[in-house]
Amino acid sequence: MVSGLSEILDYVRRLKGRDIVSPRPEEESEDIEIAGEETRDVDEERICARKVSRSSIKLEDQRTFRYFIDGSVSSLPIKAVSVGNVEVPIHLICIAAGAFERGVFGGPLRPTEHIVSRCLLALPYAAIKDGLGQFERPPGRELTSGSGVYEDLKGYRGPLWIDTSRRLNGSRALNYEDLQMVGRVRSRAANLAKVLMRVAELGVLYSLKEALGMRDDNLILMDGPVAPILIYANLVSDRFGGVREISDPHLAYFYLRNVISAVKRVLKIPRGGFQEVFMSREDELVYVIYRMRSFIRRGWGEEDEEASDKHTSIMISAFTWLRPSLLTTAGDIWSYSSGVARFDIPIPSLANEDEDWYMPDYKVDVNRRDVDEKLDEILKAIYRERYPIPSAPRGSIRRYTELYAIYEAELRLKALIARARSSIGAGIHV
Amino acid sequence: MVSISEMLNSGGCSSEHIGFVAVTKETPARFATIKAFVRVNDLRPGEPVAIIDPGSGAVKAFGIVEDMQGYTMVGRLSDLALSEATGSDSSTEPTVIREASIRILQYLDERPVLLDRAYRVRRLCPQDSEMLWGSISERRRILAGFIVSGNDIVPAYYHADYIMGPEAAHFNIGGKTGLATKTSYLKFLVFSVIKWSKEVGEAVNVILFNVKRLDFIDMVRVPESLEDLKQCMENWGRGLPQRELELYVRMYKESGIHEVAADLARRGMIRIYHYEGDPYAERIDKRISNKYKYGLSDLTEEALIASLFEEEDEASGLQINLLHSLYKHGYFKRSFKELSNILDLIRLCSIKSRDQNQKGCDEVRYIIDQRPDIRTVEALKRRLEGFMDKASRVIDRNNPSSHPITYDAIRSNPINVIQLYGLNDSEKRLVVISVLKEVIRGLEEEQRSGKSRRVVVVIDELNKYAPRTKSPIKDPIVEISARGRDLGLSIFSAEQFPSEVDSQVIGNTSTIAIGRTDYAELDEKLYRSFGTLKTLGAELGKGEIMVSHPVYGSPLVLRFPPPLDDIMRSCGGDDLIW
Repeated sequence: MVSGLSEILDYVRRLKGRDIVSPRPEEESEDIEIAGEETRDVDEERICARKVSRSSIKLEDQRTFRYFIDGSVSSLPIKAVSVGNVEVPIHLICIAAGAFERGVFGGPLRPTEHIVSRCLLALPYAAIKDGLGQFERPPGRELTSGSGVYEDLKGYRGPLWIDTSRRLNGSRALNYEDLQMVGRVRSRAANLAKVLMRVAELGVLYSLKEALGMRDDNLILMDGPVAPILIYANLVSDRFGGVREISDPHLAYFYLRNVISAVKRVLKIPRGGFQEVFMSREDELVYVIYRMRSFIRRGWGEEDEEASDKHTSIMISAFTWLRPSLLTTAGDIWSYSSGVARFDIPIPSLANEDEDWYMPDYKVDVNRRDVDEKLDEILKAIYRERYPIPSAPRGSIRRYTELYAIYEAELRLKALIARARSSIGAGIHV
Repeated sequence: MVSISEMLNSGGCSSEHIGFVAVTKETPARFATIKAFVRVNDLRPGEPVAIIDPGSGAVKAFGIVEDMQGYTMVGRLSDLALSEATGSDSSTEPTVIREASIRILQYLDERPVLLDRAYRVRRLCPQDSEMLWGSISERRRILAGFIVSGNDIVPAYYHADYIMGPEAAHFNIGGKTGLATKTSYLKFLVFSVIKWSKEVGEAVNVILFNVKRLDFIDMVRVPESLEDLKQCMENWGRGLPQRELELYVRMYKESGIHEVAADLARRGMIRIYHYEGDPYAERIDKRISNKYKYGLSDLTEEALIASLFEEEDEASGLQINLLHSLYKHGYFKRSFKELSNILDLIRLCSIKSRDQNQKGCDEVRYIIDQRPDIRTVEALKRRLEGFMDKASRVIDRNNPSSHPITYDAIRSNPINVIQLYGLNDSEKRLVVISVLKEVIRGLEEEQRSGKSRRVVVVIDELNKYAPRTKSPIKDPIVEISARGRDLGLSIFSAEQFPSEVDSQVIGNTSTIAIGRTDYAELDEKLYRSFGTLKTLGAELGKGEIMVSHPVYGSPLVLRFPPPLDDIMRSCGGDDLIW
């Protein structure tokens, strides 16, 4: 049984209301998107276009991605509590995040010890209590911004819960009157679930980096853009919290170096375009590299309002076609540009530690030999992740832009959630 | 939540966990079958596994792997093909998920429960043996072979009552010649039976009909010591993995079979019966060999009929009647030559008028009175003369009695090998039927006097003796397979295609084993008891058999070591045996 789950289920049984029989997850992990219809001007800087051809890759000495980090989440309504004349849904959130490892020269994924899997209760506790006057407090520990969220998700053995009527910083998001807007109650639970998943993903990155040590040079591939979620760094640990404000460039350099983000859904095309990408061939990929200095807000929830340009500007983004022959022959996508994948490369992966890499005016000089070599290695590593193709229906964007290793990591995490959910299902119906 | 690695590594028997039962909507747990995820890729169909309660560590059940499949999460072949088409530059290797279909062999709980939790799966280890064979009492266990599980060998047993009577008494093994190693298994089983008989103190004698060169004759060649066995095994198995050779030595050592075989050979208790002119007779030490030959009075009526007539036809019916009359009136107490003369006399006396009271006709008066057809008498005479010429190596024409193989001789040696190789079909039939009739007679006599003894008859190429078509030799074998279990007479048989054996004979087979067998043969309904595992019959290697035995919940794949005489031969010397 999942940690603390029996207490959670006991509590839910005690609540007056209607059991939601055969609950179905309302929301599973979504791919985090970048914006497409940004109204403000996006500050962008075109850095270069690069080709990586098969003939340039020497298999025996080529670095490949060694670690893969992903997260998955599911939000499950399990009870409807009567508050006045409204039925307020109470959710169980299950999250899983983990790092998976591969051999130095490739091979199949293996789970590392850095895996977090947890189910917790989500309910608008304060808002319900306001309405009813009295309402039993859920058992166990409440997750708040002050509580060390990642540590609790990972290590606390008792039940956990989260008050969806508050933001993580403690400010009120739902009042008693808002409970009538059941959709809003639900979306609050879903948003918080996503935040917790992001915290868990960052936590996994943090614990992996700590375990590998400062000098480790392995490439890490993370699913989804990492820059915007750095605002949750302080929910992972005090030490990692420094990354949020880049208050300790030395530590931030260590945590961000070699952590490449894979973004499979590119909704906003840089104004400068990436026409060269379409010249990619199966044995020669063209990357167009930009530095996007503005955070693009679309796709991010209210919890993420603090996401800022600061984190975006410490990345450069490489756009490419991963599977040119598939794209040019499939004919089942809207446009060629929708088959473009993006890879965000933190500047610490290219710059030296003693440089001012974190300053907005830092110039990424790809003509510098060491930067050029590092960039080349990363682009080649991406090149070698293109096949096989993840299993997805024809026409799905995943077939063109997702890397198989990330797809498999996600499946493994979803399987963990499915197992947890099956025990929840059993618990409810006992 | 219990992690997968935690599940796979928790304690138990020395054999570590290799997977866990997977209960999903797609793969529900059933009482007869379950699915399991396993992390190894060398778990072969036919291999037994133990299902363990993760809480208590107790074995809940034993199962047998029916099928293994490995797959990745790549959805389409084309999705993988593109990867290959672009060269081997990909660093991604999809994780392979391995799924084992397991048929439950035996539940250990008094009241079995559905195995619908993440029970762990591990290979068998020697400590499981007692639980696995708990349904067979120790005194009834006859070593059938071994289950090789990782580095462990676990003995597998037959229930004595189901291969030696009284429950059932016919073991048959089929399979492709040269690949199925049927004869090798029969030799192993024979030594195993003798070992069992010594241990439990139940008298057993084995008769092996040797139909191929030195197949069974060479059973007397046994490495003297385990050291010799090891050394010879090295020679025998050149090119084979060392681990395999070590396994074979352990099979002989741990089972004690080598010890028993060496003791029998040393004490000259493997007796060879050969005929005059046997090309291999010179190679056999006289101290362990007996020459056999049959005079007419040594034969039963059935034996002579079976030897004389290959197929029934119109004419043979009358001839058989005439033979029957001759037997009834005591003419079989004479020699073959005299019987031939008697037939001449009958012909002559039948031609002459009875009124003339021909001299000597009195001797055949009883036959003449029946007015035999002259052509029948002549035909029988020709047939008898022909047979006497053809069967000269096994019959004594001039003396009524010669050196038949007697029940007393057989019962004084645990193993009796009767050389048939080199004989023609008529001769073989005469010897086989005579021996079987003699053994039945002897056992019946013992039974009447309240004594208990078992005889095992080993017949290679059973389809030649008991084919689906008509055959004069078939009757005694049909009789043994139907009634032998009450007498203590068992058949261990082998042939390439069991489907070609008479349905009554094969239908009475309680324990069916197959070595490597063709798919076409496996389609026969005879193999129904192997269920979905039967296709495995086409993939078995040398030294592997699949067995369906009444006390097993499912067929089992067993391993057995190469024959001792094969191993011994590799140590050189085609010298005198024994």
